[in-house]
Amino acid sequence: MAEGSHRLNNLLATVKSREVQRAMLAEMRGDRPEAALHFLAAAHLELVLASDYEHAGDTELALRSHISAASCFWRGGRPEQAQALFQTLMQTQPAEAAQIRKLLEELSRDHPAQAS
Amino acid sequence: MDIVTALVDLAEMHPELEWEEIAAATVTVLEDRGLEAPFEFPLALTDLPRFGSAEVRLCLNREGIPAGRVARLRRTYDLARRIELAAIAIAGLGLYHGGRHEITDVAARGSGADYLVDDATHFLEVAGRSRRSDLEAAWQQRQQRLADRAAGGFYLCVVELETPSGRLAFFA
Repeated sequence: MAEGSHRLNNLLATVKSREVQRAMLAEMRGDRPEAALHFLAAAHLELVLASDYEHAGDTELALRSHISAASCFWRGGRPEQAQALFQTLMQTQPAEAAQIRKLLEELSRDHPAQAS
Repeated sequence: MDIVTALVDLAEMHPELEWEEIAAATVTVLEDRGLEAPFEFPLALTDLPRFGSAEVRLCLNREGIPAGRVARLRRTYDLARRIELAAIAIAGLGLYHGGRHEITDVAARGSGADYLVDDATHFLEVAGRSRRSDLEAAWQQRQQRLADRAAGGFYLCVVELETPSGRLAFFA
């Protein structure tokens, strides 16, 4: 990855972390609209990061970002988008399918309202 | 060993994350216990890389955290949530002073942990309890869960706000 891309990646990663954190804080204080706003921002940033990691050949970080993106879509009130992403991941990375299914179960259990 | 530190400095110790609300929430729970700044917080550090083990007493300065923000946090988060946030602050301070470790990211959902530490991306699990008697059970439960999931070592921090006190350890 070019040095400029690396710097951009670091900046994106920082913003993403803070968006996830802001979403979780909003969730903790029961502010659903605010939580959704920040989870969706984080989801899109994770997709950009996943793409950057793929181009850089870092498949492990790319997978982590894809999983995080799907999780953020779910918690941001877009379960259909999350499901589609999880399905794609299970097809392209069958070795991770069991872990992804477990995560889906956790999301369905812990955040059922967002899935309806 | 006494360690004089400031809650507001968490933002410089762990710049990848936001600490404003976490620091203010920490002040609310310590004040609710009748404590006054600088807040004394005993913390047992165990097997931390680049540090080792020690019983330390954090002396927490609250300068730079406006009273208005503390009042807002008290209104907007219930006590259990504020205790969770205070536990994160204590973990952050313990990691920094116990070997200059840095929380670099929020852990991915499903990892079983809360945060990632250092470039090694070790898992960090944090828990806060209102009662001292609940600390041991929380410690054992989380240690077992992380041991089952984490490869390559993990940090665990559990604090109780009754006394208050806490533990932070690294498990290789």
